[in-house]
Amino acid sequence: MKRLNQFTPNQKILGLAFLLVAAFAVSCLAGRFPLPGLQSPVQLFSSPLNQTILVHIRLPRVIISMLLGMALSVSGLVFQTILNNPMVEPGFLGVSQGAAFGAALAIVAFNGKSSQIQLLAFLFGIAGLGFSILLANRFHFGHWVMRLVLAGIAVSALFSSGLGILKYLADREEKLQSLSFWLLGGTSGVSWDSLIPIIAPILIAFTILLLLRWRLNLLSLDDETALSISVNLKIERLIFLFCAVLVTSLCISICGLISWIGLIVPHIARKIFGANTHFTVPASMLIGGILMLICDDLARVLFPAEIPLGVITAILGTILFLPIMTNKTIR
Amino acid sequence: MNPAVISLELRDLRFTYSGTNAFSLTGVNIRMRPGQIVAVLGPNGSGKTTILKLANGRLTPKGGEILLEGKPLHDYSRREIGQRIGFVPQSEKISFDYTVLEYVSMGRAPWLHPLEQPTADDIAISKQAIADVGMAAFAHSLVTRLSGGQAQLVLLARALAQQTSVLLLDEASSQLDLANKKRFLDILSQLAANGKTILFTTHEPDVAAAIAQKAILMQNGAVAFAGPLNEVYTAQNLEQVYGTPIQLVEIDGRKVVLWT
Repeated sequence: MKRLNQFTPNQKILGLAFLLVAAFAVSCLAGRFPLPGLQSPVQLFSSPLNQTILVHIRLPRVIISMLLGMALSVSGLVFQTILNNPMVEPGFLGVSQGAAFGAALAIVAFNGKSSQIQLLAFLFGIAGLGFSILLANRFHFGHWVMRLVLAGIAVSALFSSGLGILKYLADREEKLQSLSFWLLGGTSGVSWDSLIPIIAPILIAFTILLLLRWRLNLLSLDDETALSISVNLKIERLIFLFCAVLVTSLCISICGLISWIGLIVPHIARKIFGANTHFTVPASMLIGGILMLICDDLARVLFPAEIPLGVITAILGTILFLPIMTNKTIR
Repeated sequence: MNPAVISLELRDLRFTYSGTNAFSLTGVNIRMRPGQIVAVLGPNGSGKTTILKLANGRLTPKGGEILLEGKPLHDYSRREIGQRIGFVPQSEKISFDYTVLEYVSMGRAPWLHPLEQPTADDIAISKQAIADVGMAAFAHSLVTRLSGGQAQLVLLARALAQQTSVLLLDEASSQLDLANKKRFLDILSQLAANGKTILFTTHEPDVAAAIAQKAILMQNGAVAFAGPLNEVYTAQNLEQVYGTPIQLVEIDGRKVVLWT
């Protein structure tokens, strides 16, 4: 790994971009039809059936996997930097639990279609952040970041108890099943119809994050110093948090709860690039995209039956966690 | 710079915190010329830090005004203030492995467009600031691995990279060992000699005596004594402010505080 340091950061970013393209291409070839494993490109284009599978089933799934990995990772980085705590992930501040509650509400109470599940998951994800910020402003002790984390814990607990009630009420035959599937997370069955509406807002939020990426550094400083170097704390924090929550809850609304990637990828990015967010923002997106594509490929081809994606990311996350946290040779 | 010009002036400054905090700051007046070093002394809770927070725009005064180069502070944008007033805190919690250079170059933020990262010029200015505090050998070290004294010098370097005419320091030298303290104070004197206006708070009267030309003794949110260091810095005044018996000894023309 030490050899990595002979490349400039821009070269490393370019390398990661190349890997992402390669992972994307391989993912288009990986599937369970006709047999679990990889197909050759020749096979892929030889039959109309294969082409239909590629365009209508595999492609939307590969795209959402990539976006999901990018979104979770970059918002993990944003949360860690703004909260000045390397141990948080997008699930903090009530976003994930809020989105999960919204989805469960749509499934259980309204017998919702996928578009309704998405909408409610998204709205409650944003509401989770909104409640956390409102509540944080009501607290009269500690500094802003600590109040926000405490408020997020309270809001998450509220939503997860609501989720528990919905689970209890859910009819065991179908609703509980679809609820469990959603909570485990996965990208199977994602169609163009559900994907297309979220692409534009995600790309806009990614662009904003990429354009402002150096300034994210400044938000890791203490309030007092950040202010003294002209940072508009309120507005800049809100812009970053809003973009992070937007991309996360949009992806969660389609894919369900996926853990670990948002926590672990920013660490990998910092190990390779150092702490400078000018590099770790694009790096987290690229690494997250690559890892999620790999996880999703494994979910689809490892066994004849699909493994829930959330299970794979949790396993991979834990396996990566220890060596990354204990390795001191690279930073 | 013309020495007749007033660089920073606090005029009849008043402030109260909202809520249950009973503290209030009353009638603070400070006039500072370019190149002057002013020390703010006083016991805990006497209002030293509040003065600095007002001076860098973190808090808005409830009365009186702050003039920066003759113009009210609130007429400046946040960015313009960042280009004119630098701030060095007592310490800073750093959770991420920034290099000293990356960290110091954040001080260039007030000069950058929101979508910009530091340019080659900004990096050169930051490197010079690191060299000015004697940390050139550590430019590529991680800030999380520095000793307390080194970290303090890096905080100063970041404020220097900001290239401001005014520098505010909050207890910035209190955690340094003797050698680092001397180095830190020498750097401040040198900066003042080059025209920087320096306002700092300290718990240590000796530090004030070593470099300041003016001193302000605070007591319960009000200025108890203010003026040229030699006039303000008497055993009687210090005893009154700190409420404990104090002796002043002069060694080689420098006053040193003894408490008994």
